[in-house]
Amino acid sequence: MMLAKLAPGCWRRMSRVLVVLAGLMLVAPVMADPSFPFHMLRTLTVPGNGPAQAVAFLPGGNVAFVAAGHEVSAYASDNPSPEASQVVAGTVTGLAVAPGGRFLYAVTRAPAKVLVMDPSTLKVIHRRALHGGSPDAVFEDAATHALYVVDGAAREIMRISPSTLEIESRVRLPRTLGQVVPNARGRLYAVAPGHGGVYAIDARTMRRLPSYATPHCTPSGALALDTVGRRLFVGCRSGTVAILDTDMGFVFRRIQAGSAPGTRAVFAFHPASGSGWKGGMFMVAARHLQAVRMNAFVRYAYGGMMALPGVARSIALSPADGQIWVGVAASAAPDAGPARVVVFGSNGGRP
Amino acid sequence: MKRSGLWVLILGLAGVWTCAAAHAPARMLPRSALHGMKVTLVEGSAAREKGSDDALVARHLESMGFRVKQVPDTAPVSVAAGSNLVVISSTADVSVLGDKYSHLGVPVFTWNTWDYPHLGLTGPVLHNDFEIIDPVQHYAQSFAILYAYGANLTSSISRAVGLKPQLFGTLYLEPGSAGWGRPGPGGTVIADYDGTPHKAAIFTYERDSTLANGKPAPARRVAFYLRSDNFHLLTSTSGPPSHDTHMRQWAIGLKLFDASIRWAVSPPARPTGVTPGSIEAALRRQAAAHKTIVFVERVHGGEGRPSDEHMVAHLRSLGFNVRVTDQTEPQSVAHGAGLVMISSTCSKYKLANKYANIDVPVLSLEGLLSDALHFSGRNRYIDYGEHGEEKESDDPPESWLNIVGAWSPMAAGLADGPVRFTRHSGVLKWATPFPDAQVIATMTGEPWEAAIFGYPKGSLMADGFIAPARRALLPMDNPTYNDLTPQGKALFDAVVLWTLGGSAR
Repeated sequence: MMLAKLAPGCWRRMSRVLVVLAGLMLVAPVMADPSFPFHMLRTLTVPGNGPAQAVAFLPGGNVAFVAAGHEVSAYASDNPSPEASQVVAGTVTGLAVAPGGRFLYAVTRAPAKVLVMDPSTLKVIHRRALHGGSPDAVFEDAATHALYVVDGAAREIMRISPSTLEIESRVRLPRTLGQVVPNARGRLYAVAPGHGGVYAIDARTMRRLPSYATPHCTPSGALALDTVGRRLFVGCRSGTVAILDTDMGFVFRRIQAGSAPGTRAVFAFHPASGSGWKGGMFMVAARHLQAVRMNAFVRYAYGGMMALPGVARSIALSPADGQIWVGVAASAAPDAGPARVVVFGSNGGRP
Repeated sequence: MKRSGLWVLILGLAGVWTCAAAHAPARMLPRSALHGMKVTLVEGSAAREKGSDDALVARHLESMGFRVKQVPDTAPVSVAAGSNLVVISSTADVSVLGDKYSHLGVPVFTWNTWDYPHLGLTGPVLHNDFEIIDPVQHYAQSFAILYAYGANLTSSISRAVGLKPQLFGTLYLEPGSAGWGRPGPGGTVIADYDGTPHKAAIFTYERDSTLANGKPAPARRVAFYLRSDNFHLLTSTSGPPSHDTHMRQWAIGLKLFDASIRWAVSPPARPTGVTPGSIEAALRRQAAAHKTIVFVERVHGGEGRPSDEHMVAHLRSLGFNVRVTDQTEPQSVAHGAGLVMISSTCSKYKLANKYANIDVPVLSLEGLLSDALHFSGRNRYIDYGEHGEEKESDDPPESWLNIVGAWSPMAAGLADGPVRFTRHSGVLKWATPFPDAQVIATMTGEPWEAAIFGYPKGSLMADGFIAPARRALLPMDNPTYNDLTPQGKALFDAVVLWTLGGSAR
């Protein structure tokens, strides 16, 4: 009845207001928390037939690699168009750059393979079938000079020779795995989402060591290690981040970093191009990017949060170039629409 | 098996158990026994502020099996009725708490350092009797309190965590806050800062031991170094570092907390119920077990000869085989004995450090031997000395002692407070022992001059010496034995019995 009494002009004004409000709602997801040291630069639509499942940077930070479906693309960090692309057999689930930047490693599902690619041309130099399974991450460990492939669903980590790509040994863990990180001193750490503690593995013998306890924290799957290999950041289902001193085997800090449990995390010293923070842990949790700020080796604080325009699938950070790339999808479904990457740039030292 | 054989076996096992119990510290409840016990956690309004760990403490206690009731500091003491333990957080306002929990016949565990004097745990003088270190006022000290020393190896708490006479990490590695206190002589220091027992990080009082305010502890008391916001920083270890023995012995903050809580709710040392008659009966049982006492004296000495003869006669009347030996005989004469008693007629000079390291219980009747026997520090008249010796003491002759360890069988069932030790004033000896000693009596008006104390086997003594067998001091001068009051004689027998390893209970 009330609506019927409104003048036609009033309807036009209301519709304009609604359009403005809708616009604001679209922008809101990427508005920055004032304390967050990054801001959104751009969103890329990435070639490929699936979500951006993996992102990696060259050590210099000026080239990023994005894997979406069967395709791997290379981007200059200041150019929204891909410099090169390569279609491979299988869905690429993990990317990693060799410590010196000489190789790009990839793992695929269906078929399960590990690939060695030339980072400048993206040509596949070498490949090896993994004989089943669903690998979902790959990294090279500087201490053992070996490749490690994680098959979370199979609860397995494989050590692979980087020269022959042969599986040298493997370790089976009791639970489905989340993130796995090397400490660059011969040890791997892994979490099992939904189960307490952090697995420790001797990277040389591939034998399990005693697990770290994470009191009051049920890991959500996100795990990051500072780059000197001493402090582990464990995403907890409660939305907190437990910071664990691996030398002591002791959780010494719990930071409330958001309400949603993190799925993937990265750490970098001086994440904002050498100014601002001493270090930062950045963790994606559903539709948010959140941070824990390192003020000193034993002092940490909540570092702010930014909403994402989609569900996060992957994250990589380049402190050299002051950029964070987050692969997002429309939903958490495996085939959730076109691949997009949100690129965040440093605030230039503004904390 | 014949019925008589079965009885022999049962009695034999009972004898072994009794003997073992006599040597063991008061038993601590296993963790499984904590289930359903009630804890009242007293906290202040600050507990609800950001940064307080009281909620975490409550959760932790619940994880140990306790049922925890969090009550405000303004609540009447009656809220603790039915509790097995009262825990007082430092978030509680000391001006609100006052001394309302001091008379409670329920164990109290506290890290409210300001409240220590009100509970009678320490004297009242800030910086002298207790202190709180924080990074704002004491930045350098706030790093120093991340480290403490194991001061006591034989208490139940120490044994539960395998405490060693070395440094350990109290809190995680960042400038921290902590409190310390100086307990009275009836207290037991478990861990201290700077290796100084006066700065006790963790200390306890057994029920019936004398508090710093001179009153008997109505139930067990524990003071712990925590502050409001650092329970979560109590050290512990897991993962690969936990397989390193050194790290396991370093990161024991949380273990100490748990063991101290467990000790607090465990049954206290049984009421002694000790009488001169039960002590004598127990001594006769020791004698019947063919324990030999080696009595070391200055043979054919002067002043103390009648007293020595009477002591030896008394021990022989109880059935002991007493071998009297001269101070100049080698220590080897005592090997295999049940007890070495060193008479105060001995010359410290001619005794020449003998019996310090012998693997046989030693009872010294001469306080001036305390440095040589590792009973105390090395400063004569500061770490050990005597009252009433003309030209050698500032203190007048004395006949009274002050009982501070009424809980111990060494106290012969005497209540805490003054007791007449000798009929006439005379020379009495003393020493200031290390935290592992069980202090039974002090000189009157001199709480740090202990007249009767004992070190259990395995104790940390002076100079880092570990007691190879029990050690004890009785404050006798040459003629003192003949002048003992009935209470003095009871103390004499009780200390002999304890040093022998017997029990009158």
